[in-house]
Amino acid sequence: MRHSTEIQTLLQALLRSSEQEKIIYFPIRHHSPACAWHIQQLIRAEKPAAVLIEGPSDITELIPFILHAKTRAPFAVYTTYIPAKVADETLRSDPHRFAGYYPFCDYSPELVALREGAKVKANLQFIDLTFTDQARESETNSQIRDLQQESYLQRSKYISLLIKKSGCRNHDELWDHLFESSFLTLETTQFIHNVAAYCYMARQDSPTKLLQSDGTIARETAMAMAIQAARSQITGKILVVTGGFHTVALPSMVQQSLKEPTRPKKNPLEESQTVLMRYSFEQLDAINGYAAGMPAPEYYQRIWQSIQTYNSQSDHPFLTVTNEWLVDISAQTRSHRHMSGLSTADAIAALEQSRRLAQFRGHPAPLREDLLDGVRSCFVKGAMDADGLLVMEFVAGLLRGDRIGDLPVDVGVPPIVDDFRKQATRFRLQIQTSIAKSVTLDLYRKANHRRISRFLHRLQFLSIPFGSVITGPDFVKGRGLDRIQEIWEYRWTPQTESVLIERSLYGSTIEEAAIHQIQTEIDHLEEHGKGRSATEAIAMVIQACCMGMQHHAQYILTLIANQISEDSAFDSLIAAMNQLVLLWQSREPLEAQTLETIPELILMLYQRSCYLIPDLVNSPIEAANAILDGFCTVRELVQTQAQLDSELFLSALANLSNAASSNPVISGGAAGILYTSGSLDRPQVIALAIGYLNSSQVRVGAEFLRGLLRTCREIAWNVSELLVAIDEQLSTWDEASFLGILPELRLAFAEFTPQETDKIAEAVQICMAKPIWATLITLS
Amino acid sequence: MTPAKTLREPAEIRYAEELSALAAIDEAPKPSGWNLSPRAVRTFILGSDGKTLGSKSKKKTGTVISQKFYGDDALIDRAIITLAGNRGLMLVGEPGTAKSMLSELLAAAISGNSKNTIQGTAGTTEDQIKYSWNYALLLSQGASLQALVASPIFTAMKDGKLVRFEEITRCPPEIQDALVSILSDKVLHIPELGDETGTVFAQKGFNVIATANLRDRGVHEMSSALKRRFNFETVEPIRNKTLELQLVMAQTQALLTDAEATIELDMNVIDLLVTTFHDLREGRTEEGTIVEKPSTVMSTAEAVSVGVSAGLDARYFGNSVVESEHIVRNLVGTVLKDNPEDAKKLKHYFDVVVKSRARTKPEWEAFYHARKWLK
Repeated sequence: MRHSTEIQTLLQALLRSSEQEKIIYFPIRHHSPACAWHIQQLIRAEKPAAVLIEGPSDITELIPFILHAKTRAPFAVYTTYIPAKVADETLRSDPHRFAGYYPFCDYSPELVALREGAKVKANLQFIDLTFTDQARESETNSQIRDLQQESYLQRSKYISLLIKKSGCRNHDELWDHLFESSFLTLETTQFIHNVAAYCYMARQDSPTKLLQSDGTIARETAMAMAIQAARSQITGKILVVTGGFHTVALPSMVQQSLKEPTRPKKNPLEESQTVLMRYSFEQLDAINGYAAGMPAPEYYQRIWQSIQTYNSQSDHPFLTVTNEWLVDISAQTRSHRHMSGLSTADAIAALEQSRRLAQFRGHPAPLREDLLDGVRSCFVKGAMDADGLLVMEFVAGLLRGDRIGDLPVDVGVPPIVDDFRKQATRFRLQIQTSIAKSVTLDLYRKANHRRISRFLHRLQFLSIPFGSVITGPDFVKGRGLDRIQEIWEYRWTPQTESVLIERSLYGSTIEEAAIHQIQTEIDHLEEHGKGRSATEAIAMVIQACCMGMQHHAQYILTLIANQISEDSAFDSLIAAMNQLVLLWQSREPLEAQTLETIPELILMLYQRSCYLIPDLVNSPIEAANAILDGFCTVRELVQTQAQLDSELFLSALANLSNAASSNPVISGGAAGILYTSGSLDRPQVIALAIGYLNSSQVRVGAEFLRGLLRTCREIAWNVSELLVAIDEQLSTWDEASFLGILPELRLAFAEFTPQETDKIAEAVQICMAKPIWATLITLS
Repeated sequence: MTPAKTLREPAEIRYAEELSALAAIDEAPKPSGWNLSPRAVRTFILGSDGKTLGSKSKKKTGTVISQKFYGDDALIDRAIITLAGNRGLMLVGEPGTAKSMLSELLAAAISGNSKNTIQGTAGTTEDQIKYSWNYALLLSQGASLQALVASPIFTAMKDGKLVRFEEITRCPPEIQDALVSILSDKVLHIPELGDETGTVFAQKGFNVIATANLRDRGVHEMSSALKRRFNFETVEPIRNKTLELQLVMAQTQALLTDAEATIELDMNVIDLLVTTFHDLREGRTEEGTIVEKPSTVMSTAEAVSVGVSAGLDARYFGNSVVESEHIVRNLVGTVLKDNPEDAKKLKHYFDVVVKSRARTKPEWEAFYHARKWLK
C-alpha cells in the first residue's frame, strides 16, 4: 500500500512537470521501438527547446557527426578510460583498461530524440557523467561494458515475479508483453506513466547501498544537476530522456539543491577517448553474447519501419511484420541447402498460430515471441533438439540481420589504428618507416618481451600484415621447445593500417578484435566439435595463451571437456593428455598458471581413458604398439601426477587382462604393468605367461611375450622362471613351427639394449646352459 | 464401476472436482465444441499457483487447481492454440517425459473424455483407425450404421471431440497415412453406406493429439504429407534438479500410498536417486565430471519407478525404511535394460563420481558401499 501512494506522488510529479512546469521526464528502455515512437510523437507535439539525454556528456561534441547526412545506423559511441599508471610501473602487466559501448540504431529512443529534436531546433545535450568519471565512481571491475545495461531490471525480484505470473519466459518477452504490444493505442502521457510505474517497482528491489557503490547515485546526481542548469538557462520546454530506472529518481532530486561532488582532477597521465565507430546488428544481438545488446535487431528495425508508415487504415504494424517474416522465412528455407523447404500453407498455418497465440495472450497483434512460437509450432517438423535446432538457429539469424552502419569520413582515425600505433610505440617497434626490422624476445626472463610477443601474435592471428616469427619455440606444434628466445621480423606498410581499419568493426582495440576472432573460432569448434579431435582444441588453447588470452583459453578448455566425453579413441585421449601435461609444464612462458582446470582436465582424460581400457582387448594387432606406449605414458603420469588415482588404472588393466583376449600383445602389456606395480605377484605372472605359452596357437604365446617385455623389460632377467618356461616351450616346437614363430619372438626381444641382452644372457647361463637359447639371443 | 478397485482412473475422473470448478467460473470465450476456454485449460494443466479459483462475477469455489505439468509453460500455450486450430498436435520427445499424460490432460479438459484413444502398435490396422463391421449384423441386415463398429476417430469426428493417438510412429507408415485425408478434409467416407449416411463430417471441436517417439527402436518414419498436418511440440525432460527432486519425492510417496505400503522416505535418499539420474542423463555431474550416458532413457518417470520399487523392497524385505542399498538394488533393473555396455557405464559412475563424493558426504558413502549389488 505504501508503494501505491508513492507511485501516485511520483506519477503526479511526472504529470505536473509536463503540464505546469516546463520539464517533461520521459522514461525509456533502450532500443525500444514503442518508446522511440512516443518520443517522436511527443517532440513533434510539444516542440521542446531542449532535449537532454542520458549518455556520457562528452558525446554532446559528437552530435554533429551523429546527425550527419552520411551517418547510417547502427553505429556506436565507443569510449575508453585508462587510469594513470602507478609510479613504479615497470610494465609488469597491462594497464587496467575500461571500455564502454553506447550503440544506436534507427529505433533507439535516444537517436530518435536527437533526430526529431534537431528538426525542431532544440538544444541537444547528453547529461550523464563522462565514462571516465563513471569508471572512477564504480567499484566494479568489468572491463568492457554496455553503457545501456539493464542489470537492475533483470535482477529485480518484482520483475521476476511478474515474469512468472504473466507466463513470459524472460525480461525481453515481459517488456514486449507489457509495452510493445499496446503502445499504438495509448496516449503518450499514459504510456509514460506505465513505464514509470514499472520501473518504480523494479527500483524498490535495489538497495541504496548498492546504487551508491556502483556509481548510480553519482550519475543521477550529475544528471539532475544538468537538468537544473538547463532549467535556469533555457526558456521553453525541456524534455529529459533517460532510462526508466533513473527517471523515477530524477524529479525529486531536481527539486533539491544539489552540491557538486569533488572529483579528482584529470591526471595528465591517464588516457581517455570518446569516438564513434561502425557497429553491426550481429554485435547488437544479445544472443551473440556481446556486451551491448538486445535480441533480434532486424526484427525491430522492420517493426520501426512499419510503424513509420502506419495509419489507422492499415493493419497493425506487428501483424504486417509478422506476416512478412513468416513468408520470408518459409521462402528462404526453400533456397537453403540443408533444410527441407516450407510451403506457403506452412506460412499460413504459422501466421494463424501466431495470431491465435497473440489473442490468447492478450496482445493486439503477434509480438516477437508469438512469431517465434508460431515458427516453433508449424515450421519444426520433428524433435526440437534435432530438426528444431536448425530451424530456430536459421530464424534467429534472419531476425538478427546483417546490417552494418556507416560513418562520414571526417570522423577521424578508427580507434583500432590508434591502439595499434600506441602499443607499437610503447613497445618501441618502428612504424615510421617501411623498412624491415627484427626483434629478439626473451620469453622466459622478461615480462615485457612476453607482452611484445603477444602483441605480435595477436596481429598475426588477425592476419594483419606486419610481423612473422623467424625462429622460436612453437608451443602449438610442440617444436623447438628448447629455445628460450623468439625472433620476429616485422615491417610496417600502409596495408598494415588498411587491414586494421577493416578489422575495426570487430573491436576498437587489437585485443578486442582478437577476442572476436577467437570467439568465432570457438563457435566454429562448438558447431563442428564432434568431428574434430580434442588435440585440435588444445592447439587452440595454446594459441590463445600465446596471445595472452588466458581467459578464452579457459573457455576452450571447458569445451574440450565435452569433446573428451565423446572421444572413444584411446590413443587420441592419451595424445591430448600428453599435450595438456606439456602445456602445464611450459606454463611459465605461456603464463598458463591461471588455467586452473588443466589438472582437472588431465584427471578427466585419465578417467575416460581408464574407462576405455577394458575395451582395448579387441583392438587389432597392428594397433598394439601404440596402445602399449599409451599404457606406459599413463603409468608415468600416474607416478608423477599425484591427483590421479592409480587404483582406477590398475583395476581397468586387471579387467582387461581377465577378459578373453583376442589380442595377446595387449594382454601381455597389461600383465607387465600390473606386475611392475605389484598388483600381480611373481607366481601369478609366471602362471599367466605359461598359460599363454602353452596355448594351442603357437603365435599367441610369442605375442603375449612381446607385450609383456615391452611394458616390463626387467622381467626378462629378473624372473628366471619365465626363462625356464620359455625354454620348455621352445623344446616342444618342431622345426617348422619354430621357424614360423621366429619373427614374432625376435620382435619380442629386439628392443633390448646390448647391456640388457647381456643381462639376459647371464640369467640364461645361470639357470640353464642350452645352446638353442644362446642362439636366440645372438639372433636378436 | 467401483473406483476403489480401478488401478488407474482416467484424468476426467481423477480431476473431476477441479474440472467442474473450472467450468463453473469459466467466462473466457470458448472455441465451439470445447468444454472449457483455452485459458481455463491452461490453468487446469499449469495449476492456479496455490490460489483458490474465483472470478469477477461468481463466488470463490474454494478449489485449488494443482500443477500437473512441469517445465515449459509456453509449450502448453502453443499446444492449446494448436488444438483450437486446423492442424493436429504431435507431441514428441524421449520416453518418460510425460507426453501421454499431457495428451490425456488436454483431452480431459477440452473434451471431458480422455478415453477416446487409439493405442498405436505395429499391428494397428486401418480398420482400427476408420471403422470396421459387426459381421453378424452386416450379414443379417446389410451395411447400416447399426452394423458399423466405430473407431475412436469416427466417434470423435461425429461428436466434435478430441481423439488421442498414442505412439503413432509404432504403426507402419501406410497405416499412419490413413490420417492424412481425414485431417485435411475433416471428413470420413463410408462407401458401403452410400452418399447420404456414408459421409461423416467432423463436427467443430474435433482434433487429433498424437504422441510419438522419434528415436526409439522399432519406430517408423512419418511421411512428409502427415507431418504437414501436425504441429510438432517437443516435451523435454525436467532440467531443474530441485524441481525434479520434489516431483519424484511427491509422486513416489503417492504411488506407495496407493500400493498400501506406508514407508518412511528420506529426502537424502531420494536425493541420491535423483542426482544419479540427473548426472547420467546430462552426461555431466554437478562437479563437472563428464560421465558416459547410458543408452537407457533416464527419465523422471523411471526415477519414480525406482523409488517405488525401492520402497516396496524396503516394505516387504526390509524394515520399512528406504536406504541407499534399496536404491542401488532397484537401479540395476532400470539402468540395465538390454545393453550390457550400460552396466560398465554405471560401474564407472560409481568408481569415479560416487567414490569421490563418498569421501566427504556420509550418505554418498553408504551409497558407494552398496555398489556390491551392481554385480
